[in-house]
Amino acid sequence: MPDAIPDTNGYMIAGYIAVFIILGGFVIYMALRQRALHAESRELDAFAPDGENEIAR
Amino acid sequence: MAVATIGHSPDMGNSKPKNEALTYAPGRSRLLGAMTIITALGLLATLYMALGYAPTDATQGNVQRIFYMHMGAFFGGAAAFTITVFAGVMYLRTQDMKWDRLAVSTVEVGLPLMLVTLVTGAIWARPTWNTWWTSDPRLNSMAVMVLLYAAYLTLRSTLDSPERRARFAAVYGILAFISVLYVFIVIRIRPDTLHPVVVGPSPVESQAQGTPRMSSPMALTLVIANVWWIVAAVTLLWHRIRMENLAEYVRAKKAQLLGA
Repeated sequence: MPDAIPDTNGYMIAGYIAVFIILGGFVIYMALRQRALHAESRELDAFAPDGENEIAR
Repeated sequence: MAVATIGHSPDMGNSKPKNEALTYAPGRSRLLGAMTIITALGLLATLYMALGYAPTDATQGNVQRIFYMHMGAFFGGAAAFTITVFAGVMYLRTQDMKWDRLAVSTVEVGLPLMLVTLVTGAIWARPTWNTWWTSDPRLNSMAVMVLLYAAYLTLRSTLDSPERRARFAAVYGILAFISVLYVFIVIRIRPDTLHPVVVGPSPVESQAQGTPRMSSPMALTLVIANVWWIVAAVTLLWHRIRMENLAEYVRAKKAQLLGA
């Protein structure tokens, strides 16, 4: 009977939001850190170009 | 394994780095790109299965759909921590720093996945057990495991010597895996837990509450979700390793410039 099914929609939505916050936060953290590292490596390569320190991106 | 070629000596970090390039084979980069796209599409498919295809649980209502994320995230995290053990053993055998970079990457990927398991479990427990958290063997051991791996990252950063840090992390990563095994088996050996056993029979007469009676669409969704979480863990790990390689390259380049 559909009436017997408890209304727990709010908890389900909260659970999926939590998944996206944690997972999305981690992906964003990785993307930002990767970007910063790429920028830093480019600066270092420009500062001391030696023709060998090229990073495949 | 998705370890990129990094052109420096294994003991890079405290010795003078060689002036070599950090390069990836184009085929590997294409494979990583394909895996990233597959993971993104897999997420959409998993969400459709979990929220649309699988029927509503008659006893628990829609909150049961959290299970598809809760359990899969655990398997993804456990897969990452299994690789931590492998990387630790390989480091202790070879002293090659690439295994240390793999180990720290696996822990950093596994930790948020285990956090997903922990948080979604608490949210599921509230309407099912009428509490967010209770002193239960499974819940407590899960919390201890997450804290152990969080401590792994914290303790690593306190050691300056790369060799000491790598050796310590290798041993710690191997020993910490005992907590993962315990979390997995605790609901199968202790009768005093509320946590249901979803996969496989429980040899003990448990007082578990909230065990879903799985229909075929539910079981199929659970399998798809578990596979997706493991694929997502591998994809995240691959990206994380590349980031660690790049960070190592930047550190080496700085040391080289300072030494010049």
